[in-house]
Amino acid sequence: MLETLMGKLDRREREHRADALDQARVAIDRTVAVGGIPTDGRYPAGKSYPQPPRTDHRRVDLEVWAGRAFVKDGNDSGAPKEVPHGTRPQS
Amino acid sequence: MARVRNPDFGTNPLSYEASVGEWEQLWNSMDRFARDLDGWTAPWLDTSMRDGNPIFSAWSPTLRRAIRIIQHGEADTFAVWRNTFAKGSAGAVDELVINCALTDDHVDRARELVAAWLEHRSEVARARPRPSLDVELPHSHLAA
Repeated sequence: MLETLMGKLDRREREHRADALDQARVAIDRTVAVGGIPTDGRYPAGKSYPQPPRTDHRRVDLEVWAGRAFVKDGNDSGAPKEVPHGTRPQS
Repeated sequence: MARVRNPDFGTNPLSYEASVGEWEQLWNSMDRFARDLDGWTAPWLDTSMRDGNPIFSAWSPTLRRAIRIIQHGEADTFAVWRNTFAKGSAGAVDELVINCALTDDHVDRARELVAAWLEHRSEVARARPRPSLDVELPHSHLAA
């Protein structure tokens, strides 16, 4: 997923967001290890990286709007099928 | 350098809970009329990772506006921005994000910003969210 995002950025933008992407990757891996984020229609998830933030406000936001995200491919958890979520670089 | 309270909140559950309590205290100190009028409720976002990202959140389903507070450990770094959560969807929410440390100064600044956001005043409320680059994810990355 993050590789998809990185592919959208030029080299300079990737460099600016290297820390953010590294931290997001660690967080996603940790989340996958515990079975993902189940929002269950109650609490969506929103996280921003890097932490602490950069002074120029460049960052990467992770959003899980509904359902369950960050689970291993093929892991049918029985969670809702429609799981819109996004990874967005912010300038 | 300002003293950062609960600097070990990321590893010490007691410090984490104490930090949560401080932000909840800030929220509860806000004008109750403004909170009740627009149906504000907390929490809004998942905090199951207990990493301070976010440490506190609240939202008004009526206004589709939200507050997200992220806590880190550096006293000299305070950031605030607006974001459209779930941008492009019917459930989009206009959020104020405050990214700071737990110091007296940062809490005071956060209090002013949250109050302004609740009361629809100041440049905080009038500022426009930054443009963003959205990335469509392959469906295989969505949960089954």
